[in-house]
Amino acid sequence: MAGMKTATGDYIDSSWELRVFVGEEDPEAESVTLRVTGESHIGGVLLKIVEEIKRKQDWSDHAIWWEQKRQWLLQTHWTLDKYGILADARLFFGPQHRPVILRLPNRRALRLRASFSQPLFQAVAAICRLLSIRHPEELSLLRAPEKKEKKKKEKEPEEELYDLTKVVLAGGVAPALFRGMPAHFSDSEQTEACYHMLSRPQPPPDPLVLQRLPRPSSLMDKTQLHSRWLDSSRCLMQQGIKAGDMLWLRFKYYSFFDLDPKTDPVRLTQLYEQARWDLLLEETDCTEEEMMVFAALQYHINKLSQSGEVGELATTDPGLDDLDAALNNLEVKLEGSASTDVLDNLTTIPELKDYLRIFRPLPRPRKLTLKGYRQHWVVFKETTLSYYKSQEEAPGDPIQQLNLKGCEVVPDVNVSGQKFCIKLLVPSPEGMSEICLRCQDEKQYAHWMAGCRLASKGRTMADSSYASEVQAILAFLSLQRTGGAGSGSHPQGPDASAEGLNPYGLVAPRFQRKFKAKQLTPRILEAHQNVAQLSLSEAQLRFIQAWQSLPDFGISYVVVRFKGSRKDEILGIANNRLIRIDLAVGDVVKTWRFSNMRQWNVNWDIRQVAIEFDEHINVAFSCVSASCRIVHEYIGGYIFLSTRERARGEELDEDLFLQLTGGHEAF
Amino acid sequence: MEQLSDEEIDHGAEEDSDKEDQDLDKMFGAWLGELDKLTQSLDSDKPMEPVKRSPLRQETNMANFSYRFSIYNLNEALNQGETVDLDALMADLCSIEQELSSIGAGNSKRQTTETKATQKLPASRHTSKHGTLKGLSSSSNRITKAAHANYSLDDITAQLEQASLSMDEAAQQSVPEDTKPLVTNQHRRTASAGTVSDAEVHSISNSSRSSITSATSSMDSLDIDKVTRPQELDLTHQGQPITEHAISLRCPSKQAKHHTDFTEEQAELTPHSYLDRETSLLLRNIAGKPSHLLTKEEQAAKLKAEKIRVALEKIKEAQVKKLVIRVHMSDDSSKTMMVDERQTVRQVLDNLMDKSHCGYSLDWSLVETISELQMERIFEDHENLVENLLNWTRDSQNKLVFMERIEKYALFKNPQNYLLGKKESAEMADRNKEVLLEECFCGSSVTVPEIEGVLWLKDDGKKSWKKRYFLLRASGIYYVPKGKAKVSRELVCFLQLDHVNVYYGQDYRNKYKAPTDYCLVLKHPQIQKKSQYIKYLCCDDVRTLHQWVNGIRIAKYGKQLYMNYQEALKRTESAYDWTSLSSSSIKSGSSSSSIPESQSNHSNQSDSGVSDTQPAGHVRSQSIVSSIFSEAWKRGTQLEESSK
Repeated sequence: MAGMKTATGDYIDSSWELRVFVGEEDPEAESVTLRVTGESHIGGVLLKIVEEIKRKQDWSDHAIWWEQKRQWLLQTHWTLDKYGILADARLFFGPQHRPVILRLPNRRALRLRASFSQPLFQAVAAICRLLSIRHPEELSLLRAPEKKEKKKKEKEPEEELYDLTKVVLAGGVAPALFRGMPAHFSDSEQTEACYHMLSRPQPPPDPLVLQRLPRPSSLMDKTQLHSRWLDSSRCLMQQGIKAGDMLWLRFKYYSFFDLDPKTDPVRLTQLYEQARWDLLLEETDCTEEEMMVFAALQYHINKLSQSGEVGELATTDPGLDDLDAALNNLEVKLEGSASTDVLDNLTTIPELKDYLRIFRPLPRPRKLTLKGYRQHWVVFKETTLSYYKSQEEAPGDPIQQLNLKGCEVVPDVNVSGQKFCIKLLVPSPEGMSEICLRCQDEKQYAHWMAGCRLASKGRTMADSSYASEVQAILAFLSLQRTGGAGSGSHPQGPDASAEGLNPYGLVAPRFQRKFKAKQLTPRILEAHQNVAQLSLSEAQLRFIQAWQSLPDFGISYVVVRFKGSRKDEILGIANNRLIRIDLAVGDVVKTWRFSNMRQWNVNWDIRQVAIEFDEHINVAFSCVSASCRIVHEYIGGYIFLSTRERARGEELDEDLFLQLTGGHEAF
Repeated sequence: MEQLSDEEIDHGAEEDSDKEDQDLDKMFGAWLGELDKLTQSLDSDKPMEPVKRSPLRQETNMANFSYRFSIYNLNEALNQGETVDLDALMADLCSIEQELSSIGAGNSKRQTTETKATQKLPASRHTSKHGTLKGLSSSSNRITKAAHANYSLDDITAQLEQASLSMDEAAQQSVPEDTKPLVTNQHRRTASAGTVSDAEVHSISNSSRSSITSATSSMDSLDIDKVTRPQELDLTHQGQPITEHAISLRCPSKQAKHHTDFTEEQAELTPHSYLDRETSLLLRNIAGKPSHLLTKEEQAAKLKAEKIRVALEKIKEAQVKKLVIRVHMSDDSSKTMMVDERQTVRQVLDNLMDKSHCGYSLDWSLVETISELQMERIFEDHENLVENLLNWTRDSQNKLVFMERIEKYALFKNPQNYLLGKKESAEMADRNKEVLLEECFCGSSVTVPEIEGVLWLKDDGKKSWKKRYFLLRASGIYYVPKGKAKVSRELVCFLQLDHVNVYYGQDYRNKYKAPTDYCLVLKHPQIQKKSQYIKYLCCDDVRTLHQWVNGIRIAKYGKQLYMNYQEALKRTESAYDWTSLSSSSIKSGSSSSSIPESQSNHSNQSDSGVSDTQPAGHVRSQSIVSSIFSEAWKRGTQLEESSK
């Protein structure tokens, strides 16, 4: 061993003193000094350090970090010479896993230990394994935006911070399920609560908070986010992240492979949350109609998760599902033939008859006719609605008879205003006829509404689902009544919105400005009608799908300057194409598809990316808003993700990913 | 051989038949009106059964709809006096026969076995037919006798049944030998037979009134348990007055034709198709009378009518809805077939391809043409045909055309022209096409192509067209309001696609003064007449038109469209497999734009010698049509390019 001395105390071998600090890059930290030679192995050095410290502790996670070279000394069989370490090297003996605070896609904060020594790609994979999110290659970490110094000292409400730092995951095997959650979550109440936070959608945000959050006002703003992505081929330590730092975990690549509600509750929920915030903060634009559908889905999802109907996640037996489906089928069949028993049902076919107020908007061009609602005797039988002047005239010819099969049923309800209207748009060979039925109270409304909904699907009130439909409508109305205060023009914070329907928490702020709450509510309810039957995970999936089908979905924007061009432009990177966008107008100038791409090169010195497409089309640009590494990684990442299709079920090909996204280390 | 000579004699009378059929058609229409009135008066005359009344009435209307509908279609087919393929009808009749025979009395067994024996000898078809006919005429003789001699009721019913059975059988046997003139002749003759029998009714009713009425009631009891057979056919059967059976037996060629004819006759004679002439005559007499003035007999008849009606409604309700449809071929011929409500367009197409021996091609389509609105639409393969056809009105001029349409799956053959939102058409390597399709259709959500641009929108109720900038999104069609920027938040929703279908407009330059003839129409499938709810859009060129139509299809049907295509592709390929034809044709089918020609040549080869019924012009016209189309396509794109 190194450190042979003469009697006078002079070292006679070529050994020298190496100082190693113990701890995480803290110059004040205690240090140990070792006698080493150039031939000393790192493993031996580690052993000596531990001996020197003379403390009993699990050192297995510790390794040496070389500060000047920003490098971990992880190869224990390498010698100091091989690493090139001399006496002046500043070495730190510290843990490889350190706590960080993750801001999840659902905007909640979570403390956990992340690897500071592995490439980020592996670190993220480990985090995802802990959180039980499959396909970690789709996610990555961003630096948290720098907090602006707040002038007025507003007291931020103390945020609940979930802690998973103590949870240790057994390596290798996939975490087993225990009590409906991965076993490592079921250790304590805290971790259980954490799993619920991860796997259940969050309630809608407070509209006031929502309004204060920063939103991009231009394409330029949208490029900001993408400059913060961390480099996936280097470790956190190398990228200047310190223990306790805040990092954002986000889905980076908008190509979601094999989403499965059964195995992916956390992934699905987090993806839903990211989509929701993406829309609420207007990162992705949508139209009014689309926003109403998104709002209705959020409302529905929130309602289901509030009422604790998460139990569906526990049903893991796929056989049961098939059985359910079969039973459903059977039910449908029985219903289909149920109406055949004419004689038996002759006396029992349920019908509704009552005095209702009816309003018939005249077909366009609408003249100013101030005929309002008029009282009529209305008979609703099978799928047909007939109305008469009065009850006495009922045996005669009705004023009008409408077969509601295939019609559109739109509720127009205001509980606080005691308005219970059903709008019907009934198709016929001549066109559509519109008719509004106004009911007196909730009960009447529920019965007629349920009848109309069934009739529009071609079923009668004899159908088995009639009673439950009536109940659902009544429950829905009572929900609105309790939430009546919240749906007023003054939202009362998250508590009120959790109960009833506060539309402002469900739509992007620009709709808050455009519409009053009582204008929004009926529109959301109208859209809700189409999704009311969905289960929680179905609704989340529907939300994600609708988000994916937006034209602006999944485009990451970067400011670039094309070769030969004098002005900055925007490069949009989507999962299958690159888009050149005019910075000022926002128009698409040109689209290149990855499938036509031959190769791409990065010149790290002049920060230029050059891409060659089929038919000798060459494109080159330098990156302005983000480093060209980020653009390079996006392109390589998407190409990597597109190879997954073929290799379904195989282990993640990490080398390929790093090959496609890294590369710059080679220079 | 008496029957054969009859047929020969009738050859000469062919020309007149069409006229007469039209008259019959009118009368049929008139009868339907009468039926409604009568039903109403029946109801109001019967205050003692208030519970039953109303629901029944409604059901009558509903059930009759499909019934009339199918009759109508069949009539239409017959009126044209063309070769009508009644294979499907015959198959159904066959199944009825089997059911009946299991119920029928012992003596009917003899008939059945006899006919079955004949079926086993297809080579000696002619003689066997003769044999059956003999059996038939003997049975018919017996029936006539029975009617006059007041035999026991059961006996009569059994024999009636038997007679109709064997008629079916005979008709089935004779179908292949049928020729065009023959059909119309018989048609005409039975019609005249109807008038004769009308006169005879009185004498019969005098002698055997009670027996006939009770015969009908026993028939009705037989019927009640039958669930799966097409009501329109067997009902007309059973309701036939005896005399007509006797007559119809003399001309045993096209059984289904007789059925319709009979219905028509009944249209003149009786307001209730399912009642025997006797009872309905009685009913007609009572129609105006207050109930206390009715004789016992009349009241009994009325009760009977009521009972039968209830029973029939019950049957109808229980049955799987079936339609007799007429499918026009691209060569102006037509086929008649039966579809049930569970069949998808794909199944019907397969059926038609098998029958018409036209060769398998992806492009075979069922096209709905709405002549009143001058628009057409290719049914998607997954759609339910009956559901769509039930949207037609009773007197509809709409047509169902079976033809090759290259645009049906052009989207998948050259996806680059539709999915990339580019203005110019381009070639693409097959590998890239697959990648593109996979990208678009196989992800977790379908990517709706970004289609946008200026289209002309027709003003409501006017013949003026306005330019607007439209965009297609998954959630619907939007336009940019005047003076606004083209960003999502400013867009105004023009239409959501859940409730509308997309149609091609035809010749709107003349009809609506459209700027071009490349028009698309969006409407609810139930709308059949001019309405403000129909939206008309006009494109500058054919390419834009197809991009929009296909874009809308993708937005509306999503992945289903791609599944349809793959399914169709599978069918086509498997068809080629067993005909052991070169695989090159498949390739050309999936990639090149000159498919229709090659395909139809192909079908020519495979067809030669197989089907005599298919006129040679058929194939030719297909290829002409499709080549015209592809020509137009090329021209359209060339124009586009040159204008740049």
